[in-house]
Amino acid sequence: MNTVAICGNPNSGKTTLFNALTGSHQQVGNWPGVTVEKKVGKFKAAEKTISIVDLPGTYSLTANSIDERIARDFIIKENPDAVIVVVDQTNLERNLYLVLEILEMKKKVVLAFNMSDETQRRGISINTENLAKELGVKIVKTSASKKEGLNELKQAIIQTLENGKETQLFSYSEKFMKYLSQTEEILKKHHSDNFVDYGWTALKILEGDTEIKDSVSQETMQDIDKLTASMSQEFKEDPSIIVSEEKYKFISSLSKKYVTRKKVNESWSDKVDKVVTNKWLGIPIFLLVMWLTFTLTFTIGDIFNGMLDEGFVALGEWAGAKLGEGMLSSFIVNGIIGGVGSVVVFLPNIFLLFLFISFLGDVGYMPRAAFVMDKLMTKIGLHGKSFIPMILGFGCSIPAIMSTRTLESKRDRIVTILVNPFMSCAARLPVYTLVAGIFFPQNAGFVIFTLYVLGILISIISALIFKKTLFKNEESVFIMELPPYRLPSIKSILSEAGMRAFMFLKKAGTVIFAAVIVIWLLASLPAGVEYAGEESIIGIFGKIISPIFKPLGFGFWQASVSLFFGFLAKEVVTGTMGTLFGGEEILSQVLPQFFNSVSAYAFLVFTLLYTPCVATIGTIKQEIGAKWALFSVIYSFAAAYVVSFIVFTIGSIIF
Amino acid sequence: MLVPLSSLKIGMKGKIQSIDFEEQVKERFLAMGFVPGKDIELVHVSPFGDPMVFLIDDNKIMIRREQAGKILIDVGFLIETLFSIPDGMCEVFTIDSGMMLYERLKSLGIYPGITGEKHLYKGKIFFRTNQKDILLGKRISRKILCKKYV
Ligand SMILES: Nc1nc2c(ncn2[C@@H]2O[C@H](COP(=O)(O)OP(=O)(O)OP(=O)(O)O)[C@@H](O)[C@H]2O)c(=O)[nH]1
Ligand SMILES: [Mg+2]
Repeated sequence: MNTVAICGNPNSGKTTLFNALTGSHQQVGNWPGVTVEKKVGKFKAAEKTISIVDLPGTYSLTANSIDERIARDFIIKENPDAVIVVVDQTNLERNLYLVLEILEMKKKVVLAFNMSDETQRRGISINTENLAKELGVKIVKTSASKKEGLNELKQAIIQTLENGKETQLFSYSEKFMKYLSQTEEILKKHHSDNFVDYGWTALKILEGDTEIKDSVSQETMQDIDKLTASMSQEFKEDPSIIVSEEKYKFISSLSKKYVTRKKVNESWSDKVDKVVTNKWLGIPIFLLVMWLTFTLTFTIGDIFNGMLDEGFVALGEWAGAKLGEGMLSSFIVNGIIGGVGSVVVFLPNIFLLFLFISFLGDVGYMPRAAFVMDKLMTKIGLHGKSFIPMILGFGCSIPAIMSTRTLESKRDRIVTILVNPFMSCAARLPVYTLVAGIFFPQNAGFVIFTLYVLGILISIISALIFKKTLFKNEESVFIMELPPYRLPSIKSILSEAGMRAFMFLKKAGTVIFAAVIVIWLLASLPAGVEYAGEESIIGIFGKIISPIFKPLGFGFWQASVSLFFGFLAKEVVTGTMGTLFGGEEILSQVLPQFFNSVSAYAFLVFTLLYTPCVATIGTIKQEIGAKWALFSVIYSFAAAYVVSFIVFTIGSIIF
Repeated sequence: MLVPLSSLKIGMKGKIQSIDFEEQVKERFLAMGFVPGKDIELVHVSPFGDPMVFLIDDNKIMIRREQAGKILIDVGFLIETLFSIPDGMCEVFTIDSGMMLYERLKSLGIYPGITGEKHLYKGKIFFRTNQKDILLGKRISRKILCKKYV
């Protein structure tokens, strides 16, 4: 089976195209750096099945960040049979830069000239026929989001796979070509059979690509260094810059020949930007956006989860009546309906939260938020780009941590990952809503809001601590593009939020379900004990660990085991209580016997801050290594303990 | 006149002239479109004063003020004193003096924003505006800053 790779500048519509070709639902968003790992799919064209790989976006093959390196390595090392380069036509010259780099690797290339629907509005017209001839490749105009041009693209892929030719190196200025061919000669002399493509290798060495430099012998490099030194002298520039500028000169000549631009009126996107980035309005708007996201999540969500809750209560009563007393009944009523049900109730909140996050992402607000917040983020030792993972962290820490791959500096990336779990993810919501609903019925919303703010504060303080202690301050560069605002299609944000909701249900049906069964078993054994009594296994275990939590105000064993099992997934904190005591309805009668409002709040603070769930720890390990994962476990537990202790102690004095 | 990008006010434009970073960063800037010869305009500044958003072609890119300070652009005009500016049309930009001189010049028809023609006659500096030739001494002409498009 043939493999083709999709690559291109960030935000050019690669994933949208991938989804349209394969029918998959990979995440799309209107900001650079949505895709951070490669995704594989299949599509059929002319009776053939072709495997297709979606890659992270990159501006050039000289990779700076991890996501870019993934794209670059795939193209260079995995050697796909053909490459589809997705080009954002509204930004042709910059996109062509990458196109040239890929063409120069003598890949079989098809160019998908995307965003065709936007070019007209922006007064851009491109003579693709002649451009295609000059570049020696097929160009297909597409509009991935409108699913236009897909058949033509498929056809072009098939034809290119069958008889596409490799492109020759382009002819740059004579002055430069002289040095390029001399470098090639040196390579050929010293390494007669190591390289597939000497021209490209020579070009890359002149550009200063360290990996390729390392792959040639020292002797060769000495010869080449002499050559580049005299080239630098002639051009009065660093070699890599000479190469880039040569490329741009060539592109600019292409653009003069094939592109015409008409002046157009200021777009609505520019008008919106003037308001959103305004000196006085920028910050209030930013706060308003955040506030609306949460308020709407809760107020709308509450209506629905009240309904779900009643449903589960009714279901529990019905099942209880049908099954009578006994093991099976206890298992179904307490275990499944009480445990899993107390988590599933929050499905509407989770759906809404992801709906808003994906709406913000699809509209194009993320880079604006990074723009408004960069200065503050730098002050606390983070980076403007850290802000996008922070917002994503309100949904789920795992994709949030993955998205830090776009940060160029390792230091920024580690700090951003370490503080990310303090952003309160959706899985913690069930715990807050449950406990706050019972203990602060009048102002549950406000109490939950304070938890989110506390999470943000702790992440700021932690970032400051890390900045002072773990890392030397190193200057990092911030450069990011602001794509135009785009009206998201309702279908795409609904499907994104729907998928998240589905994943939540799946988690409820697997991890949470399994945890609940284990807890139910531990609460029922040894045979004959009172269900969930102190003599049950879980009771005995809980009694052992509960003294740890005594200073925090919740030293009763049920709280301890809830937190213990919550390590599997934070929803399990609720699930455990549901299993041990019975569903949400019963919890509201039972819990006040154990908590007062201060210790209940301390418990919520602990739940917010303590050790991230297993899956998050796994992701941290995958991204920055076991050492930091372990650090995160210990640090967040300590932070949770200290802050909850302070909250409980001071709270007890005041109230 | 060459000025760093960081000195622009919103709405000001120029042509990128040179970029002064170490190689790796410079390459990144090039790949993202900061290419010598390109037109560039400052379009937004963050509410906190940093970063700044520039328009290149049709594309908005944000960078920090610190990096913007290392990119020189040609704004297409120069600002010099009336004394030193080359002969020809120019616009009065500011008057670098106290109220007295300011008012006196104003009564002669010379104030910020007015356009006129500088020329020399027998070694003396004249500023021609509103069909009047105004003779200005060396000392005073050194206090009038003018903007000249080139
Ligand atoms: N108007 C228009 N918008 C498009 C088109 N194709 C994609 N988009 C939008 O462009 C934005 C970026 O799309 P993605 O598919 O996420 O881009 P990507 O290239 O995968 O981006 P990264 O993964 O960040 O590199 C989204 O808001 C899409 O809805 C198109 O043909 N026309
Ligand atoms: Mg993508």
